[in-house]
Amino acid sequence: MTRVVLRALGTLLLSAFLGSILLFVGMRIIGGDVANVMLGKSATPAALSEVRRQLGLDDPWTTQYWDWISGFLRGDLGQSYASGYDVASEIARRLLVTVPLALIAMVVATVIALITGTAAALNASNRRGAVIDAVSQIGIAIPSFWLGVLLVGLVSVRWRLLPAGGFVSWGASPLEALRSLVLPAIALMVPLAAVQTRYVRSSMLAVLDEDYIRTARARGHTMRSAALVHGLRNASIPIVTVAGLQLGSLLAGTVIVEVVFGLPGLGQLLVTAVNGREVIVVQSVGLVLLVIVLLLNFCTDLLYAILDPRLRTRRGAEGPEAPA
Amino acid sequence: MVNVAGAPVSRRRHVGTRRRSLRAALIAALTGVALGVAACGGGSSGNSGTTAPAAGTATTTPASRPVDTSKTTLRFGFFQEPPNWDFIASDSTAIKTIIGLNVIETLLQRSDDGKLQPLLAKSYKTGDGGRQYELTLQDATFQDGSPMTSADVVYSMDQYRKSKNATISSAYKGVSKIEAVDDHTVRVTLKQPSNSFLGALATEAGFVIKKGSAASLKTKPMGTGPFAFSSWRQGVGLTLNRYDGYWGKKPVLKTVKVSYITDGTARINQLRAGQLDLVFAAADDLPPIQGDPRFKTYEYTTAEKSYLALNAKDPTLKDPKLRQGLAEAIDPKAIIKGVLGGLGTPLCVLISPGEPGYTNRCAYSFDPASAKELLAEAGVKTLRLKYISDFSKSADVVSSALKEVGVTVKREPRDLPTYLKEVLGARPDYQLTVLSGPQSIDAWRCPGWFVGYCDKAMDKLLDDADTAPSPGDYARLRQQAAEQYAKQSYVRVWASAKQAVAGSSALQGIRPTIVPLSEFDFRGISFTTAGS
Repeated sequence: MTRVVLRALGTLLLSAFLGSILLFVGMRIIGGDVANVMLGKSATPAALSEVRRQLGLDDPWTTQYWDWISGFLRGDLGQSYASGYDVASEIARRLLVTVPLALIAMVVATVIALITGTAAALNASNRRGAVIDAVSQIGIAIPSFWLGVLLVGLVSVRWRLLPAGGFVSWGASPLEALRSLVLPAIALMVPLAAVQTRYVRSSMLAVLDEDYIRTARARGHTMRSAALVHGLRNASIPIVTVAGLQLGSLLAGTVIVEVVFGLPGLGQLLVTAVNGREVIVVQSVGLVLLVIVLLLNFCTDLLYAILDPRLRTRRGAEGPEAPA
Repeated sequence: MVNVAGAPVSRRRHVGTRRRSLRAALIAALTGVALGVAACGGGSSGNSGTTAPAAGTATTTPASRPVDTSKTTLRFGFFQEPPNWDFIASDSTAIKTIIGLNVIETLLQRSDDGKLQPLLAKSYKTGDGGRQYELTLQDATFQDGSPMTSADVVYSMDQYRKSKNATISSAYKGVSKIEAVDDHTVRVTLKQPSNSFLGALATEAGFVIKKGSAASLKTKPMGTGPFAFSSWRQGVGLTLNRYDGYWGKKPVLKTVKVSYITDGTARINQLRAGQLDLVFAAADDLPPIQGDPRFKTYEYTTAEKSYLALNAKDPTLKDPKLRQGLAEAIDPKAIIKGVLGGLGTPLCVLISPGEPGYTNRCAYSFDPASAKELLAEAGVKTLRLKYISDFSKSADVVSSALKEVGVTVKREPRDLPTYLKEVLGARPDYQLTVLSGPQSIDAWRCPGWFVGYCDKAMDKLLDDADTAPSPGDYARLRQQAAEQYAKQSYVRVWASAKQAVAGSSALQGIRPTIVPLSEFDFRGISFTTAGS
């Protein structure tokens, strides 16, 4: 187990370092800078140079990188050039929108996927299973933003049940904050649940062929109760990996849904900062997201090892044929 | 276990039955919670009309309808949030749209038909052959209660003179001295007479801010206007609250809540869902509300001009016949219809309707036959078109129009910051570009901005206009300057863009123009009792 933890930690740190370099260099090679954006169309070359000098944009890249990363490691994520806001505070505020949104979508998607994927596996040879398969294919094909627009048109505009967009802060009204997230969460959840359903189905089909399921049947369990009581835990191992990866990409990928629903989340902040060439904001937000994804992968690896004891030993990890 | 008939019942079946009941109960409970969350949160907050008026309600707003004094909060959806509110450093229209005249007032303002009117300067007189202006100030206070004096005006003008933002500092290029005569009088001395100086006082160059407040403009702009800048949540929106110490006529509205929503469909959806009262809209966003008597679309003139610009430093484009061919190849109506969605009027010069010197005369008209001939003579087969990716519709129109006359267009889309650097930067790198902006003919004085064409004859006409003895001569000479430049066809103007806002048909008081400040004027807006 110690080996697993150390290996995962090493991967996390190396990935974070390489990711920070990629973010730093990437923002500098895409063209344009924040001085152009701040001063607008009528900016004179002299004015642009002066602003770049004031912001340190003409310092050597190594200096700029060190200034940024050393501040980041101390907890100082920098300030927006154009607006002056503190990046760390802004990220914290926006995480209160993006994290609940991603978590609600992921949890609901996973629960639905476990139910529908298991049902699909148990009904693999009949019409019910075929219907679940078809519905999950449609769910995978539906783009989140299109679903979001459809939901707004029906639920908000026509039926006036939920807000069409915007976000009321948790402090002002937890209930209104939750209502603001329902439709965006559904828009995100549907394709997620559809993908996970496919994984659960495949995984459960493999588990249903195992000897211990046959034993459980012989002892009087129905196929369904054997699957749920004895098979689900084993079938869920790959789901843990998939869910962990999906959650990481969800945090960064909520941007389209945030735009459709006007949610002030992390994705929207990132897009605004890229368009405004706010290098510090993009770098810091990007690195925070990267670290969160890496931490999720780290936790997934650990959870994997907890769920499957075979992975805790080197022999177990190499497989049943490995020499003692 | 046994059933009611006494027959044994399998324990497994009994367990299965109980589990089915539990599952059904759980599903029912979850559904109930979901419906409860949806229903008991209440409808949208605020004061949108919730009752649809009878069909057949008039779609044009009468001059003045009875005001609904119970509805004093306007929820406004806008698409562009500025990075900060410092209008001295940045010429971002997004800043002026919200704070112009609402929060920070100008010394003079323009009426809807373009005439200069007093505002913070209640009167002015000229002296020394037009080289001196003496402005007498209103008894106004800033939103913190402190009185506005000539010291604040002098401070403001000094800030603008020193600014690196050419849009604001150019107004003071000809100024030699600014002084406070007394607490309510400011004297400005020019190096030579300038007709444009007074007009500039109706733009951001005429904003009055409190002495010493320039540094706080970024996050908390303050002025003498009827609305105070109360709070700003970046990426979300801001709130303006009515300033009850305002020196002039107090607005009916007590609160304006501006929400920043970049997507047009999202703005219209929130309008339709009752979360917003008024939204900025592009032509494409309007169909869902057309024909709905609860909403009305208002169009107003802007200073925004759409045009095709040619890089004068590119040797291929030096041939005037080639440029004439390009000017004749593209139908302005196609731009107005295909790009602006009908929200525009044809324009051929770099002066907007309502500005001195405006004319609707054109040096060249749409003539594809002539264009084909001229372009064939010039022997140009391919041209490069660099543009901001948001301008793809303009690029579509230009590409297909030039294809009709035998020229292939190689398209080079760019995002905004890259475009600003490559086209509007120190070394413009483009051949053709499509753009729009509120800049008028003065922006193209030598060295010719990003086009790089220096027309000394035009500059002379603009200089003569500035020192002309009368407003009539001023306008006439500016018109000549604009037509002179249009003839060279380095900048082919197509249209003056109109802006649409869509909102509740219960609103009134939306001005038909936002020239020259690009402000969206909340001062006269109110809800009416009819049509709510």
